Amino acid sequence: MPGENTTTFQIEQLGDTTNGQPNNYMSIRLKNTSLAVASAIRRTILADVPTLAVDDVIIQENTSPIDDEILALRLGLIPLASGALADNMNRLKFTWDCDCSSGCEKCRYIFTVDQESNTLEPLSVTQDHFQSGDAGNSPDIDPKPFPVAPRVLRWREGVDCHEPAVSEGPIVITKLGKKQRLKLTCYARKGTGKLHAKWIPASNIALRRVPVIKLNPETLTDVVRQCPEQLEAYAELCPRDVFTCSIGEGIEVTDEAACIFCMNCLADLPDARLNNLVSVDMSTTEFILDIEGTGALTPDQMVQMAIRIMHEKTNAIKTDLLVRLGRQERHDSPDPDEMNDYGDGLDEAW
Amino acid sequence: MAPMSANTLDDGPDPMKALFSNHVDSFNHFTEHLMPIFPQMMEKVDVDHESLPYMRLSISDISLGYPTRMWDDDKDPLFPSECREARLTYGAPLRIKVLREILDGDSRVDEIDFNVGELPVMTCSDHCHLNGLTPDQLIAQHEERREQGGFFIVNGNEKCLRMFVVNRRHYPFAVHRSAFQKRGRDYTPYGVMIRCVMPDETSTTNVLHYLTDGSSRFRIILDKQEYFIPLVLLMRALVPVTDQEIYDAVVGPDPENTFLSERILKMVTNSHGNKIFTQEQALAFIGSKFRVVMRLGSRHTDADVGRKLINQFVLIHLNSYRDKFNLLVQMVRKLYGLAQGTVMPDSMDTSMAHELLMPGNLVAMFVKEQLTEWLHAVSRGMLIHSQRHASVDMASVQALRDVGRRHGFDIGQKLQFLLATGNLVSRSGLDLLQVAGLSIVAEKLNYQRYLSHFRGVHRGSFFVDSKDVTVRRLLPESWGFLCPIHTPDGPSCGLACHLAQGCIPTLVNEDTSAVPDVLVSLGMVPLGDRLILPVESHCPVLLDGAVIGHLAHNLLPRVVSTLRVMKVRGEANIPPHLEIGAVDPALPRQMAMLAMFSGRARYSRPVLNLGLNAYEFIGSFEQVFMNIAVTPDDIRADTTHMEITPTEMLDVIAALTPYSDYNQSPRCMYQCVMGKQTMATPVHSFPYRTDNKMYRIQSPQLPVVETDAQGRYGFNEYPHGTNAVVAVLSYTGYDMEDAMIINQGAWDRGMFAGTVYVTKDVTLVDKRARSASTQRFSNVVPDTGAKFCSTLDVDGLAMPGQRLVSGDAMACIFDTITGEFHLKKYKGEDAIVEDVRLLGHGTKDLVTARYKLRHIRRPTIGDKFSSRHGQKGVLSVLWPHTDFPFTESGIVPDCLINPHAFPSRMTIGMLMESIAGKSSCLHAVKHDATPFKYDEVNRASEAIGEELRAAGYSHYGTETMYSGVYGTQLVADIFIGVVYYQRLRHMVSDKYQVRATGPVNQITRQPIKGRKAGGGIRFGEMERDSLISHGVAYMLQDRTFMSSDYSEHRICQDCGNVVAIGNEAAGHYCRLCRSRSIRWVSLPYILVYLAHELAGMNVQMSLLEHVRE
Repeated sequence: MPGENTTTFQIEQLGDTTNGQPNNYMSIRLKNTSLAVASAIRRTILADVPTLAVDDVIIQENTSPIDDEILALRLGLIPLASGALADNMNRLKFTWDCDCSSGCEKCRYIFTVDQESNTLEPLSVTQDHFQSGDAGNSPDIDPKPFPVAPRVLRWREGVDCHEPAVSEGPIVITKLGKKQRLKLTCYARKGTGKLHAKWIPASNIALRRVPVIKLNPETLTDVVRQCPEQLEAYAELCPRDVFTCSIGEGIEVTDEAACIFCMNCLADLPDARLNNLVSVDMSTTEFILDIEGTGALTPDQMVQMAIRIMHEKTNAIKTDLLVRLGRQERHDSPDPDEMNDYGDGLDEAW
Repeated sequence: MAPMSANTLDDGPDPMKALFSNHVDSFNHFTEHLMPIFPQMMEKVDVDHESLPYMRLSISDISLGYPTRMWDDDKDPLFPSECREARLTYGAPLRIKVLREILDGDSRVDEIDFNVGELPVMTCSDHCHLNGLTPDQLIAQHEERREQGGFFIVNGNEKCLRMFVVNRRHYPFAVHRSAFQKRGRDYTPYGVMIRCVMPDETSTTNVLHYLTDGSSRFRIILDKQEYFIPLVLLMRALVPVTDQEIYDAVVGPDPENTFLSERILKMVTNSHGNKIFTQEQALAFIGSKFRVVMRLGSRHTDADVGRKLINQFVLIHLNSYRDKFNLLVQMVRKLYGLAQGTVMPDSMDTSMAHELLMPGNLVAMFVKEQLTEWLHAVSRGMLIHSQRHASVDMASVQALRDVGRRHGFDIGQKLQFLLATGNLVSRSGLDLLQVAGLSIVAEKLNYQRYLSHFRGVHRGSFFVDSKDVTVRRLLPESWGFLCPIHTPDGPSCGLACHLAQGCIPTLVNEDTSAVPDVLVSLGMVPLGDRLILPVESHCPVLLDGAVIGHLAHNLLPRVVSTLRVMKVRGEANIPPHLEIGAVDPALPRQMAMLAMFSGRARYSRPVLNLGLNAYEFIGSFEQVFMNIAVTPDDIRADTTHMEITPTEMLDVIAALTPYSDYNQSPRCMYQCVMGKQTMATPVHSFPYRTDNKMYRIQSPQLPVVETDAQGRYGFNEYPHGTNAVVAVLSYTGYDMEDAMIINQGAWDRGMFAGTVYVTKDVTLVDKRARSASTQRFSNVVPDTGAKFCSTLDVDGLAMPGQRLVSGDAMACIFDTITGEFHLKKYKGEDAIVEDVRLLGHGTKDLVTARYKLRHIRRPTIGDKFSSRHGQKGVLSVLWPHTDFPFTESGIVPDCLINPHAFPSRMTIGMLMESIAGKSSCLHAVKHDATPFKYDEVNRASEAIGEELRAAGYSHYGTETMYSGVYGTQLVADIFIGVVYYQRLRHMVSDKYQVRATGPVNQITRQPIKGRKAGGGIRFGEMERDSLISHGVAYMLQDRTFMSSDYSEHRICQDCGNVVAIGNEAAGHYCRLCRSRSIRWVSLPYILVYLAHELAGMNVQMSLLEHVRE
């Protein structure tokens, strides 16, 4: 590892805040670190960062066209704002860590839905119809269902394609015909992506190595002299427009980070003189993390929580190792506030 | 080039409707056109007995009503959905008017109405209430929005009459069949066969046989029995002819053909022995032989009987005896040409020699025969009735009415039986080769399977067991009529075919009255009254099996092309579906002929007539002699026609496979089979259906890569898969041998989640008892008002939404006499009650509770999936989302498949679909993957690759991927894209078999077999051999003895007896040798059983232990 505690985070891009949505996209550059750290952040966000999601559904009445179990599946997948967990993950406990026997305000949050259609027009039951259950809910957490966010779509101009039908607004659970009724109680619980995908806070995480693209000045000079007309076609080979070709000037690397290592600029070139014009390498110390959230947590919350979880896990290993080596006494009664969700021993952490 | 003619298809019927029209329209044809002519076509039946007045019965009118709720006082219309849910038959009353003529004494005519049962009615036919309903009205009747019908409902089951291949009517085929030799002594394999069909679709097949002595006999079939009539006798019976005329008619144009002339001469000369010279003599002779089998009484003269025989069994499509004679002459000429070797045998396995047995025509043949049998039954009943009721005046109307009620039978019931079982019970056999499997259940497993039932054409079950594979071969003659792709693998390969998209069988007999005159104007020499053929270099002209003239060979091409122009343009009253088959005289070893067909049930399809730039319907006979280009590039100087699209040759199901032109052909076949096994969206009327088993996928998607058939035939209303992100790489080792890895995250989000609906009945009455039940559904204890069973509702039934596991109470039954409650237990897989229906069996009492249960079937390891390219695989592991490889944009695949799936199978179409799907998702457009859109010049890979590049991806469809576990880059670029995946209905939950201990056979005490019974899997001989070869003796003992029929017995150590060990106070002793030296041994029970069996035959078996000293 190149030095201690030198990993730096640089925020490259934050998701736009149009439509009044909180940030749910972030691109960060990790510098001066190793692949292990970058990969661990990704894996921790996917597997271990806790969020809230509907876990149990008690259906009192369901005359909708959707079967009970499919309804429950759909409810579970609705992202619930879990920001309350960001600063203190223990604000809500895991069910299995809670002292209660059958659920209490410390380990669950209750919603109810009760809708009935009285018109011929189908009634859409959406997340907006979620009502915070009863007094049994803790006021500290307010897991509002998160509506569908507009997608960040990237493609080039000029390509013949349809305007994507981005559905915005509340997530539809089911539609009700006349006289159909939906009455149910949902128990939202804390969980992690390891248990079920509904608890994964990120809808997409891309971990990329930072490309290092260098032009070979000698070859470039030769190409400019001998076959400058090839350069424009050469720049076009790149599907991500890494290169910009200016007539007379030659070619330059303008968007290095966009490279996807497709190696189109290296293989099967139309002209042998273009060989070795560029070299594409990967940085071993710099990485890019693109995080897109479901809305349960913002990307920065995810990263911070992931780092805390990793930190606690490594601390747990360290403590356990020291205990085993006899250099430290194990805390018999650890201070509960300092305790994390992952216990304090190797056995529990792994 | 757009066709600019009135004869276009643009304003044709709904393409989805057209798929079912073979069934619906042919049934309509039966009710509208065939049934009304039955009265005039049917033979009258005599009541001929000395004790009765001479009466003649006939049917003067037949009418079919509409399905009605007969038990209802209001007689409300009965709709198909009610029949399905209540297990009723969707039928309409069939009424006949019986005409009785009394010919003795005071002749009189009476007409009486009879109701002869509920005839099953095809849904969406003219006699169905669904006919003409709008989509909204159909939904209100609990049907699909675009319900097309085509099936019958018998006892609640949807039954569909299969279409069969039968021989083309009205054309004499030269056949060489070794089975002909078995017809009798001197019979040769040579014959000329012709299938003749009357206007009411009654059909019979006549064969003219060649015998080794050079003579010839004419075969007729009467009530499944074969009879042979000497040729010359038949000729004399048909027309008054002299010997010279017979000779001239047959040999006519080529007297130098000594082979023919000698044999004819000999045959004519030999016939003189019978002393039959005139037509009357010949008819009387034939009639005298057939009087009994024809069921004709003494009041018909022999000649009358002979005439009736010829009318009903000899070349029955022709009315005039002269026409029959002329056709017979042509058959004789073809037969001797065949025997001589100048005419080649025709293949009876090509579509050229085939037509279809349409459902409506089958029903027509069947109903007509049953009506005749009904009259015969009444005729017999007259005698029986008069004997039982001597005082009754049998000439009275009341007597006839009574006899009809008592002795006539329910014709509707007969057709119901045919539909329900597929078994044909018929006196004549209806000229079919098989008597079973005529109907099939129109399974609604998914829309593809359902549709296939109506497009399927079977060659006949006769060929399934036949060793001869020539019938299964794909022959070029079927191009455009039968799909070359859509046929199953295995026993019915090549026999169960499907109609191509463009194939529209003809339904009506077109009016051809104008054709002879047009032909004469074009140079045909009409027959007139002459019997003698014109000079040579003329060929006969056949119109629907009637010889109408002769045409000079050199005129043939021009006549055909002129006729074709008239046909396409609709000029001179030439019908548009007329098939003009010109057997070219230039062809070697063919009998030149201009054969025209205008009848029903022929294969027919539209192609583009290039000369006229209009659509022309062509048949399978004429297609062989035509020159049709597939694409504009194929057009040559002599090309006259072109296909509308190259995909016309494909069946609907085969046309759904995207880029199928890039696949190896067997893979396309496999997809046709697997497409019909997908869990999909079978119907939208789920709440109103109680099918025995129904599969449904809960999160279906429309494919982003689709062919034109997808939308055209309504498949977009019944999606059957999921667009999955598929990466092709070997990642964990769990993807070996076609296994696929599914992302746990995708599973969590509901990918491929499915449901199985099952219907179970709980019935109060014993069906056999048919008595009022003393039981009823109840869960309330009469005294206390409390519930007897806490899990059930007060009505004694389970509640919708309730979960049932094996052993739970399903229904609570209260016996009103004993006052006892009885719980029906549920047995089987965990289920959820979808709904419960209460039904009565034709009574007001609701005696059956029909449970519709729902099984949740999320994908489990071992479940089967496939792409649309015959690439099937089983789920081997659900791999964590975190550990899945991901692309630079963070995309995690939904499933991983192994690259080894591709090299040997060559399903390039799947790779194309993958990149096209990827491009579709990136650009938010659907891709048109109709086959034959791209070619070597206009390459698909380049077009799609360019789209990918434009979206910022490698044009090869590959991407750099990273290990989900380590984050390291995978060395190779990975091919990743979007492929439409189907979940197949084969699921582990339905198939797993496991047993530790369980039920054993009563006699042998060995474990029983069978998954349902909780049995084991046989540990057989070969398994035993393998254990022996491994030398694992204890293992062998464990499997074959300890885990099987291990038992312990007392045995006499002195005599080795195990069957007779006595027990008394002093201890056990041997009943045979009185020895007291008894000990325990462990034996396979089957051995002890054997000892008992032998003892029963007075044989003692001794099991002696030799202890080595």
